[in-house]
Amino acid sequence: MAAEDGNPLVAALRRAGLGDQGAFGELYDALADRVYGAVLSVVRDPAQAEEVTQEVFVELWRLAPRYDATRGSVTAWAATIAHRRAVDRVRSEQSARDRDDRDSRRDARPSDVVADTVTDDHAAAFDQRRVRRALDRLTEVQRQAVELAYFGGHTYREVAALLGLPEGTIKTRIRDGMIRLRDELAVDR
Amino acid sequence: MTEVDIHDLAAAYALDALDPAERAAYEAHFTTCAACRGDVAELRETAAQLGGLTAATPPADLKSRVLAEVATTRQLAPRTASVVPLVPRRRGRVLAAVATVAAAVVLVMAAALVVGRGGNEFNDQLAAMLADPSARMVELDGAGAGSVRLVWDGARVAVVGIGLADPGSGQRYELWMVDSDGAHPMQLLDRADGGQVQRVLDAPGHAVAWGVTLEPVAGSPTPTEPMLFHADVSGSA
Repeated sequence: MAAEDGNPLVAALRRAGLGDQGAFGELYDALADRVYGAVLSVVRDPAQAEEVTQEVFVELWRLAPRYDATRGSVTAWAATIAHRRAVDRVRSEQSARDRDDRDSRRDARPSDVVADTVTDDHAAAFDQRRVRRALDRLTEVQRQAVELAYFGGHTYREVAALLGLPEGTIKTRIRDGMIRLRDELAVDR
Repeated sequence: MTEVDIHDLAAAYALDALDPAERAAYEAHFTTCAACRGDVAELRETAAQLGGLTAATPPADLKSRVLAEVATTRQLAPRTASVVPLVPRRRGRVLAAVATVAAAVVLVMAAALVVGRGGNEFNDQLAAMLADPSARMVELDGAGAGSVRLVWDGARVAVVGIGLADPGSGQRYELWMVDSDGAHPMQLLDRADGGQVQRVLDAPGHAVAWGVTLEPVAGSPTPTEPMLFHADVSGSA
């Protein structure tokens, strides 16, 4: 995190925080694929994903003066805001639907959302392979729980219902899976 | 909830996998737990790495739409201490004098917010609360129309809302106090003409955060996202 000090993303975000729209454009170019992809993975509908992505970037612009590099990387900051916004969107729609139809259930998200993404950016491709390998080293339930929660935007209770396992089990699998991913992925960061 | 204690929710929180009540409870918890803040920061980096797997290119014209909206959107002020102790306890004499003047300014601001023509019950109650040296005033951060300020003294909270948007039929504003047990509904707030709210409510306990949401007219046991206005006051004890 502190290593990002000389990082061009941090520099662009600092300038954006001073109201520099050109710098914010650079930030958009660097983050758009991640933000849109994270949102799309959760909301699924491209038109809605586009709308939420726009909201996320306007939020990043509003919050730019408050970004604190000691608390996390620019990428994690943006990904956190994007994921939260996407999840809140599907959950508020879900609760509206539930009011109409007590029996409705959001469709189970297949874990194929992590389908091979084509990228010609070698560094990104390398990172993706590393993350995939780390996911493959989790136990089956850990991997499913983490994927359904993050890529599917489900609460751990929903994950428990989808997998037919007790909530407490899912909570510990998510915890253990994420800690293992963190340790595996932290090695050469 | 028994076999996993609250510290273990960092991962589920970092994945946005908690439901609203647990999310609020966990956020209240980690404002006071440095270990959990550290865990969440690390696990968010991990979650963001997962996010790299789903990268996808948005439509090309999205950038121009984002930049057009950005051009007309005001940024938030950088974070500063948003909680104003009305009278800081026991400082040097000069500081105390400065603080008293500052407190007087705040009091006048607060009074100016609420004084219409002549006194009323609300103004009297607010004046009494402001006279208490332990009272705190905070302006909540909000994205929407209007503003919400609170004055609270550990037993009661005075709510001053200005210019709040009409919630429409079927919804009302609700104030939430977050303490170490989670978010507690305080009261549905009726909005007068011009979007004003002036209420004094009982609010015992140790608030670490305050929030305002829109809820169905019957109220809700847990806050409905999004928080329209919120303030973290955990540093102001």
